[in-house]
Parts: sequence; C-alpha cells; structure tokens
Amino acid sequence: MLVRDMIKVAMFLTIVGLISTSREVVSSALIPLIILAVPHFAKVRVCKVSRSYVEFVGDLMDIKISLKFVGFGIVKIEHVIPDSLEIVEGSNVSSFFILGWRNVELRYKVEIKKAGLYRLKDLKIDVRNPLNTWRNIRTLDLDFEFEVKPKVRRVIRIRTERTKAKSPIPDIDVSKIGSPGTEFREIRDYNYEPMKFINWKATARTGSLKVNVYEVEGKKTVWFFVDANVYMERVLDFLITLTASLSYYFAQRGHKIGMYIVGLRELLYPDVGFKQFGRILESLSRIECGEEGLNSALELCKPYLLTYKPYVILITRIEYSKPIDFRLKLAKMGLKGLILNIKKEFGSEVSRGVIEVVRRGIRRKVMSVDVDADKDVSLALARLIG
Amino acid sequence: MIKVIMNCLLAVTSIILVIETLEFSLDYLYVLLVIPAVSLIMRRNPFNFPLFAILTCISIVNVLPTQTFYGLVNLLNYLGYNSSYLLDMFHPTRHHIPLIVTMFVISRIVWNSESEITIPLAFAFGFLAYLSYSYLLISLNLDRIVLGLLGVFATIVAFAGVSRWRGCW
Repeated sequence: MLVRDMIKVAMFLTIVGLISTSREVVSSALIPLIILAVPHFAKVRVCKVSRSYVEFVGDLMDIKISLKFVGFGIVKIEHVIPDSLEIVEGSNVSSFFILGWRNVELRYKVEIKKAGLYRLKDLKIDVRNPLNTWRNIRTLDLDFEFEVKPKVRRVIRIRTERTKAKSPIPDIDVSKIGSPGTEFREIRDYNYEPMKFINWKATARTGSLKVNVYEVEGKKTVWFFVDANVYMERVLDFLITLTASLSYYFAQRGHKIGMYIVGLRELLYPDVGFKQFGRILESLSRIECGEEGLNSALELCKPYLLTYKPYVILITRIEYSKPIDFRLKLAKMGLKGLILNIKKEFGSEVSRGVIEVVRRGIRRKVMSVDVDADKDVSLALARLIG
Repeated sequence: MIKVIMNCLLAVTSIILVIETLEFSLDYLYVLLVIPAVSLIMRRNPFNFPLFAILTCISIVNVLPTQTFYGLVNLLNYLGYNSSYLLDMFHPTRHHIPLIVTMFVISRIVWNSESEITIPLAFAFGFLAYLSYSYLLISLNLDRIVLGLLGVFATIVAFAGVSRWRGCW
C-alpha cells in the first residue's frame, strides 16, 4: 500500500514537472524513491527448542523457542500450531523491533486436545521495513515432532450394583478357529480333519468316518469398525478414547483384536496382546475424518470376518450412518455384534428433537446401545462392561 | 490517535508553508484548511493525495519561470496581448516543493504505520531523504536532457501503473 503511494507521488511529481518543464519538481520525485530505498534485513539463528514431555491427550506441554536475530526491521514471529493445541499460557506470536542484534524467547503452554503425531516445525518469520514499505515472509524449519496417545480409561467394576447386561460382550465366548484344546465338544462327520481326530469306534458303529471335535483354545476375536466419517468430527476425541479403552479391555483379557477405520480405509489384522493394542493406539492417533459407507467397509472386511468369525463392535452415530443394512449383513454372515451409538446433543431444541426421533427409529431396528459423549468415557465403559 | 494528530499537524503546516511562501498574497487560500478538517470528520487521512496535489500545483507558481513559461509569454505578446505583467508576477524565487513532498511522504508512512516505533522513524528517515535529495541533486548534477528522458520513462511507467492499479488515483 505504502509502496504504491510512494510510486504514485513520484509519478505525479514527474508528470507535473514535465508539463511545467520544472527541474525542481521532477527532482522532488527522488524523495519518495529514497524512502523506498531504505533497506531491511534480518538473520535468525535458532538457539534452542525445548518442550516438556507429554504422553496423553489432555496433558499440558511447555514450549520454549530461543532465537537470535541480527538485522534491522520490525519482526513478527509465529510458531504455527494446529487447532487441536489450545494455548493456556503465554503466546505463540511475538513482535519486536531489531536494530543490531536481539535475543528473543517464545514461551507458551498448550493443552493437547487430540491424539496424533504432531509436527510443529513451522516458525513463520515476517520481517518488515520499519517504514512499512517492504516485507519478507519466510518459514523456518524447527526440529519439533512428538506423538500424543489417546487417553485409555480402565473399566471400573461396580460390584454392588449388578444389573442385567444390556449387551452380550464376548468375555466368555470362545473362538471358532485356532488350535484345538483337550476339552471334548462333539462328534461330527469327517471333513478332511487330521487323522488323529478320527473316532474309530464311532466310525465302526455308524459305517461312515466320524471325528472328535475339541474346544478351540483362545478367546473369540473382537473386530472394531470405527466410524471416522465426516459426521463423527465433533465426537472424534470421544470415539478415539472409547475405542482405545475397549481395545485395552479386550487385549488385557487375551482376545484377538482386529480393527477397520471406516472413512480412513485402514485395516488392522486381528492379533493378540499389547503389541496389537499399541498398533491400535497408533492407528487411532492418526485418525482423520473421511468418507466411506459402512456397507462397503463391511464388504472389504468380509474375507477376514468369515475367517475369524469375530464379535463385531461398530462405533458410530446411527442417526447419520443408519446401519440397518450393516446389521442385516452381519446376521447373514452369522456374526454377532454390538452397535455403539455415540450420542451428543447439538443445535436448537427443534433439531435435537428431530434427531432424537430419527435415532429412536433406527435404534429399534439395529438394537444399538447409546453412549453419551458429554459424559466421561469411564461411565460408558462401566455401563457396557463394568 | 497519534497518527491523526501527526497528519493534521503535517497537513496544516504544509498549507501554511505554501500560502506564506507565495509571491503574491492570496489569503483566501486558507480555505484549504477545510480539507483536513473535513477529512478528519469523515475519519479519513487529513493529509490526503488531493490536498497534496493542490499544494504542489500552487507551489509550482513559484518555479514557473521556465522556458515554457517564457515561451507562453512571448506567444501572448506575439498574438497582441500585453503579457509582460506576467513576468513581474512570476520570477524565480525560493520554493518549498521538496519540503511539502517530504511532509506528505512522512504523513503517508505515519498513516500506514502498524507500530509506534514507525512514527519517530518516519520523521528520521523523512529528514534523511530530504537531506540526501539535495546531496544527490548536487552530486549527480544531471543534464536536462537526462532528466527529460527519465521523466518520459517515468510517465510510461506511470500509465502502466494506472492501468494496473485501477482506481488508486
């Protein structure tokens, strides 16, 4: 703006000077041009970048960036941070004048609102001429990377208030695949089983090959369908914490856990143990909203579902995903499952009323269980498996 | 607030300077003081470009005795009009165009400033520009033909600029 003004003045004086053939007026055009020639520069050196250690969502982190500037001009620095970091103390922006050299320290405290891998390496430096004529904007690369895991809530068992379970969580279910144990289950017709399982007495008695079937070792596989479609944006934190907490619960009890993130198209093959839980946490940390239908997700996972015969847990918002087909297809595959509906109230009373009517209609068809996103995850867990 | 006060002062100073250095007394030109007052009421820059243009055009009167001016007087004489009184009215004298330009430039910097540090710096660099202008003028001592060519070039650039920054005038 000012550059334009200065050029405008210079041009005006030149033209007026030419018309009046006045050397004095033409030469006056030099004054604004001299102003435009006033230089500015700034060299910056990053002395130190430090932060306090954080692990989980909700933790507070101290960030300190020490810089040394040499030059002349008005400098504005900004450490670019995502929306999921909320500043609780200090500021990530600073503005100052330098003439010669100056040591600057950017210090602030943030609260981490979302899990994931954070790369806060952009430090924007805006150097302006003190007369506001020219400016340079550049970005410095800082070595600043950290990962935040979702909070995992442990299930608090409420022994004193035992009620009828609303959902059949497969804690006692056994797997349909795996190595056969020693516990006898039944005698069946031969179907290419190993020879050692042939029951010769029963075969002789009936005249056709019979085999002994034993209970399979290990617990049932649990398969999570985590809905990360765009409509889940507002409850994403709750969704991550709930999924992480449930997978921790099942991992602790020796279940195989598989997961498919709907929207992100990310598949995690079923496996057992805390290593698998770590993988789940990592996937959940990277969650971003996308777009994908529940049915296409189910089709994609069908081979694994038919192999492992897992207990399926779908976490979604039924008023948006309407998982009626999903439920029917699961039943067709002979799979048991649970649909968890994350409930969160938004908007006006009228819109909330309409959503509630829709929700009730779908809930009746899909037999879902509501979990309130406005309450603590521990409460939802206690209600589901406590 | 300080920006407005500074620009008001600069505008008033420039107006008084132009009127007081005119060769002939034109007191009614003090009406020009209305321009910054009106701009102030309309919450605009008191020292705006139209005011600067008016002040520059008035100041040109003091530097008018150029070849063009003499040519014009001769032409009028040739056409039968006695225009010798014009030569009495306008003769080479002191002028303050560079000072008005400097004050206008300072006012623009002050008006566009985002930081308080800019205001003293604007005065300092304005003063430096005023001094270096005179120095450059003496040391370069450019020939009129060079100045003329520079002027033609600047005019072309100005027209190009006008077509690009439509509405900036």
